[in-house]
Amino acid sequence: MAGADQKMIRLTSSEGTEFLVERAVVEKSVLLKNMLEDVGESDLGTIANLTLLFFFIPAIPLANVTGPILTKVIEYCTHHRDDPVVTQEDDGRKSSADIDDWDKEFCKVDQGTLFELILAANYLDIKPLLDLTCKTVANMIRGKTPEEIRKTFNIENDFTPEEEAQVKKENEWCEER
Amino acid sequence: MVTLLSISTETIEIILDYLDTPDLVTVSLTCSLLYKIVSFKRYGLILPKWHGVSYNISDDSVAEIGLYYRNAVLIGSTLYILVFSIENPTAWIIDLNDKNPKWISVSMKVSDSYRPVKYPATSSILNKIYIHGGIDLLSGKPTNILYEFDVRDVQLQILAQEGTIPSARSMHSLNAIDHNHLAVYGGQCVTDDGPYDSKDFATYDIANRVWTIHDQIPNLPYARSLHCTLKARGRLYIYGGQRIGSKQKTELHTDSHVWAYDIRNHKWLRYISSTAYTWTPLKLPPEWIFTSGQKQSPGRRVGAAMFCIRNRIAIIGGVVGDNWEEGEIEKPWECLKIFSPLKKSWCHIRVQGLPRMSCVAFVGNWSGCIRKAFLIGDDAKTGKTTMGWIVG
Repeated sequence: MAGADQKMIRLTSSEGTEFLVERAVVEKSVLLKNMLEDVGESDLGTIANLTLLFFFIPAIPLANVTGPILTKVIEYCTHHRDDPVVTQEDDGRKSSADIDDWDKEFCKVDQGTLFELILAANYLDIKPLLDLTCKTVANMIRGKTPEEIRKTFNIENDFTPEEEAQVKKENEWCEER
Repeated sequence: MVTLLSISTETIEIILDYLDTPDLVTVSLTCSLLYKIVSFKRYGLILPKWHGVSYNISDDSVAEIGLYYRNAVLIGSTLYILVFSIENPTAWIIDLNDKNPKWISVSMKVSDSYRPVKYPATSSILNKIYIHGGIDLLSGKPTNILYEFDVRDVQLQILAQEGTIPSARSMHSLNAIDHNHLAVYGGQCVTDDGPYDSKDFATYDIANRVWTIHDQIPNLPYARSLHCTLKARGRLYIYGGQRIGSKQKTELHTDSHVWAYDIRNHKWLRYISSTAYTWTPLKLPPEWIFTSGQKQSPGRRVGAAMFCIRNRIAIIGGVVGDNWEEGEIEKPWECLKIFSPLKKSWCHIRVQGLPRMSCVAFVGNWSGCIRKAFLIGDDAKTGKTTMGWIVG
């Protein structure tokens, strides 16, 4: 729970559900951080008095994020609120092996939720959450056969037999030579 | 419900970033959309094909262009091939925005001091083409003449040269490394003892007309001629070529590495595409960078083309060390070799129908928004100068 002096922001999900979130947590989203900086402290949601906040401060509408997904996003950002900011320079060779236990547990959701989290992380520009969810999907792909991948992600094989033969041949040619 | 296939292509690419090659190959075999995304991610192309373009000019004109195709220069979407003949110095021009481009010719306006040349090196900055050296057709000897050709008024003028002027040479390279500097590398020079390969690396300050030889930079590429070059992302890449062997006979260069000159930091890097160095117990210089996927590397070639594709370097064509004559079924010359300096790795993809050719290549978003490569060069089978597109 935020202290009385903690600046709070109101966010509204696509269904109109309102969330009251600490500014430090909201700012894990680069989109919202930039938005708050552009609007300025006096105009939007950064006020210590919660009563005043609900009466006078407009909420930030997030038309692309549902309430349940926004709940998960806030949960993630709250847990990682003190993490250092990841820069492009830190982001070297990508590895999917370094997911910590809390993040693993966080990603134990159904596939629809996982992809909605990816969309929300992309929209809100929360790179660590986008990387985590993409890594989780990559781990679901790794080591599987094409048929297993199709089954896992409900993908229809839309190759004609001729096309399938051609792409197989091209792949063999590219990889084995 | 949101699914893997309903998220954006860019996001799918982030997921694919976490997969190694075998898993990427498997993903590409699941459906046509993922095949296209994986192929574009790995190669910058999807099932690339060769589309030959026929000429609208006489065989004699094609033969004339064929002698000078390695000096082709692209300005915007217009390709220029300058023919420095004795009688009628001509600029051949083709607009690559046309799906079926047509050649037109314009006589160059030259001064009395004009010297016809063959095998010069060319480059362009804005609307000007610079031409250095070559064999003087009147004397039969190499020259170090430097021309500037303005495409707006088709005027050819000789530029003054001061400083440490590089010796006369041919079959070298000339690249614009910024808006005021040209870089010459390599080429074949001649002394009283006969021809020799150069590894001179020199820059020309256009504003001040001054040459500087950079012979103190360590790790210079080996001497060579008829190599290919590419300036991309702050680097000048050099690959392949020929050299003069022990019996003064020109042969394929033994060097299979890609060299890169870091323009801002003034240093040479060497991307090693050979297993010959991996066993050495000696500590190698930091500028020597090992690459992976060496089976897919281009090996040794002369007369190849190099171009940039999706932050990668593509090498195609040329004459190779191995005998391609025997590869009529596998068609190894159809291999577009792709090197990622970021991942330090090689991969390759087949360009269906590509003729066996020594060539130069230019890439761009021509004819609308399709990114494709234009190739012009000598078809080894027919012996004719051929041109066309790689589209994928």
